[in-house]
Amino acid sequence: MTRNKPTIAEKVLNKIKKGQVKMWPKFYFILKALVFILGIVFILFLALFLISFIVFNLRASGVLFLPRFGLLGFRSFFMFFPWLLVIFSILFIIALIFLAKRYRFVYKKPLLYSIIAIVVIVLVGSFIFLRAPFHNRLSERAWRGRLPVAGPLYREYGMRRPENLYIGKVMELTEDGFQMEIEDGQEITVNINKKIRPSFGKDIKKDDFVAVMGEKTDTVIDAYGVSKIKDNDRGYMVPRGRPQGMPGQPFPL
Amino acid sequence: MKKQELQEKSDEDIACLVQSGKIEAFAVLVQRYEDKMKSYGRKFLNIKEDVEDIVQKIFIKAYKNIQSFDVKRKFSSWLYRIAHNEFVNELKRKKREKLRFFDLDTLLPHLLAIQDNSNEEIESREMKKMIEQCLDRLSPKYREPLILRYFHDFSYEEIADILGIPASTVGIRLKRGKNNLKSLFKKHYDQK
Repeated sequence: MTRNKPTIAEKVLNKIKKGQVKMWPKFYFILKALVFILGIVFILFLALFLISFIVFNLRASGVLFLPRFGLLGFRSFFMFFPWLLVIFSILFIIALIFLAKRYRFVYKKPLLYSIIAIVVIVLVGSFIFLRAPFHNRLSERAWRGRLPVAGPLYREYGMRRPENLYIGKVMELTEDGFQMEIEDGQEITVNINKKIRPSFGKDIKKDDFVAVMGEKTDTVIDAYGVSKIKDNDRGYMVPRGRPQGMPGQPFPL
Repeated sequence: MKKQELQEKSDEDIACLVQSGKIEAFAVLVQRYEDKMKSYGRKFLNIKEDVEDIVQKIFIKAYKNIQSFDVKRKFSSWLYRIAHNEFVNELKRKKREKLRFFDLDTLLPHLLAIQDNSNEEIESREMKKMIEQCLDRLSPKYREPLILRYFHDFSYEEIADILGIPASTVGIRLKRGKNNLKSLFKKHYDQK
C-alpha cells in the first residue's frame, strides 16, 4: 500500500506542531509599528532640521544676499550654496516617501500626491523651525563650544562666506558711500562704485545693517554691490571666521 | 470545534480563531487557498513546474504574521499580498524577468478608476483564454493584475491592496494589459 504525499496543509501544520514555525505575538507587531512611526518622525525631524538649517545658514553666512549683486553674486551664490545638505534633504524626503508608502492611505493615492504632501509638510515645518529661535540658540551654543554633535555643522557652514562679502552696520554716510563697522569691530570705509551698479546703495541710512560685496584693501572697500539687511534676517548673523569655542553673542544681535 | 463547523465559517472568523490560539483552524485556511495560490504562482511566475515550496513558504509566513491581520479586512487580500511579495522576490531571485523598482504608472493620478463590469462573463471567458495563450509574452506588470482580475475575481480595490498601488493604476494596467493581450493574441492567430 502506498502512502499519499502529505498536503501543504499537513506539512504546514506539522511544522507548527513541532514548533519549527512560531506565530509572532501581537505585541511584536505593535512594537514594530511603533518603531516604524518613530523612524518616520525621526527622519521627518532630520529633514525639517536640515532644510531650515540650509535657509538659516544661507542667512547666517550672508550667501542668501549674494544674488542681489548681479551675475558675480549669482556665481558666488552657486559656489557657496550648501549642495551637499540639499542632497541629504532630498534623500530624507525620498526615505519618508518610501516609508510612508507602507500605509494604505498613502499607497492607495497616486505617488505624486504623497510627494506633494510630504514636501509641503517638510517646507511648512521648516518655516516654523525658522520662525522659532531654534537655530539661533543652537548656533550660539555651537560658537561657545557647547554643542557636541551638531556644533561642527553650525561652525563649518557659518564660516563659509565669500571672501568679498562683508556684513556690518552703517556708522556714517559719506560722499562716495559710508563708514561701516564690520563683524570684528573694525571700522571701514565703503566706496560705492556707481559706474558699475548705480542703483546700489541709494537708500542706505545711518544704523542700517548692510551686506557689501567688493574688494577690500586695508580699511577701504571698493564696493560693487550694497544691500540692506532686513531686521528679521539680522539676528541670524554670525561673524566670519570666529574661532571655535570663542564666547560671545552672534553678531549683530 | 468540528471540522464541519469550521468549514462553514468565513476566512476572517477562522483567522480570528487562529489568532486566539486554535492552530488546527489554520489548516482549513491552507486547504481553502492552496490551489488558488498554486495557480496564481504558476501564472504569475510563468512556470510549468510545481510551486509547492513557495506556496508552503507563503502559508508559513501567513501563520507567523497572522496577529498582524486585521479581522475587519478581507483575509484573501491579506494572504494574496503576502503571496505577491513572495512571488516578486522569486522573480527577482531567478532574474527571469525585468522588474522595475519605480513605476511611472503609480506616480501620476489617472482618471480611469471606474471598474468596468459590463459583459463581464463573456469578457472574462475571452480574457482567460487569451491570458492562457499569451501569458509568456506579457510583462509581469500587466500579467499580474490580469491574473488577479480574471482568474481570482478580485475587484480593482482589492487588487490595489494586494499590489500596494492606487486603484486608478490598477485600472490603467488592466486596460493596457488587455490591449497588449489582444494584439498578442491577434498576432498569435495570424501566425497560425
